[in-house]
Amino acid sequence: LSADDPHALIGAYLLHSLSDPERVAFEEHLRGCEGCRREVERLRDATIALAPAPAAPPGDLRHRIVQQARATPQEPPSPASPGITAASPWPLRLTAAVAAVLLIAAGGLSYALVTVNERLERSRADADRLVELLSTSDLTVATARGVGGTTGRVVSSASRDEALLLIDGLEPASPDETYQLWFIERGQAVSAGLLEADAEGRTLQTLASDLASVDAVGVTLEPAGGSAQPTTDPVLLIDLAT
Amino acid sequence: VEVTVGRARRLRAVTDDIRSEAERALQAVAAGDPDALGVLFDLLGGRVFAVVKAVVRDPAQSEEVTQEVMLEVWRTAPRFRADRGSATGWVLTIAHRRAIDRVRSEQASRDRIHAVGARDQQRPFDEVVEQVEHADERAQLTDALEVLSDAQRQAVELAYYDGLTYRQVAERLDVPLGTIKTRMREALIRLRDAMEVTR
Repeated sequence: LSADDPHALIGAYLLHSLSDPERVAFEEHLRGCEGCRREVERLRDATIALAPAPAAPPGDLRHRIVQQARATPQEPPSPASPGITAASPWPLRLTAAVAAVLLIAAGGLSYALVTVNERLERSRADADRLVELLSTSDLTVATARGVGGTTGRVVSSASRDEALLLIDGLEPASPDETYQLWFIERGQAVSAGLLEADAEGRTLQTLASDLASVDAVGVTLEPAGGSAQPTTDPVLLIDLAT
Repeated sequence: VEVTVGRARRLRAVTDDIRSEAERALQAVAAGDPDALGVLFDLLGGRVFAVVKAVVRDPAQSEEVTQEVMLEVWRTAPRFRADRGSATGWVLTIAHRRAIDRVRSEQASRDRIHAVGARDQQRPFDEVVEQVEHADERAQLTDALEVLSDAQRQAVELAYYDGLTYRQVAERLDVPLGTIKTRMREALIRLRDAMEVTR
């Protein structure tokens, strides 16, 4: 075993003692080297011996952790790993039903279904709300095109205080900027929080608010952390009045 | 001797119980049950917090990192593979990784020592207590690390507790890089062999 052999780095890798670029390179090597992968698996539990005796964590930490988990979606299991596969939290036919309702209600939204389905797989709470919202009979869809290829839709129901916002084609924001969502009410902009889009510039938000008094929904690019009032022209403005 | 063997066996039975309970809890977490994360925290939270505190040292930051760790466990549990190691090993790996990330992103190891020194003047009591606890934790470890040679233990401790990269360890000890890589890998092989013997 030569010292330049990537194999020799297994110890340093498991002790998290590689620099970031070296770790990335070693993980790349691991993907193609079954021998190294097996040794990493065999040796990983040895690091348990290095863990100090348990220390009592602060009392309310458990509660905070469980609360935070409730609000956080999980990643799907890796497709190539049949190990522990989590039972799907949501029956498939229900997912299909939601897809159908969305298609009928919003026509042309099929591209967004990928996002919806991803969400459904990840979060039961979100799915519950979506199903409830999308199964109402008085669904309306407001659509708008914004700067560049940005498209936004607000799917809402007058009988419920909830709406669904779907945006597609947002340009990636630079690290010192963020997208911010605004409700326009009687000519006044009220912040509705910061928006995070995925790598494809898509975002799906459940708007838990009574939109009856909201005339339009706007999105602007703001300095990181957001602004009290919009400081730039909207990249997208969805008129809800029409 | 009989008594010792009996006690060792009982201890092992308890450890094995915790181990399989952790496996079950992690499986339920992977299935999307947030309450199971609470159960997993009851089983392993003390060890997670201890690992994080050993590396990060500052109690408030350790609390933050512990919360991050448990949330990462929650997010990535569906990807856990039971055939590739224990639940405990998986969770503690995330804990150590996050702790190292925190220490590295904050400052180089030397800066951290300075920062601890600076805080010493502001909150001497807390810091002294912290240092004492830290020394105590290290002392308790001596048992587990007895199977290692002094050179191996030194290399492992600088990496695992002080968050040094193997290159920094090599510089610190003035030993060639290849030697340090070998020491780290062989230390883990010895620890694993020792664990298998005691099982």
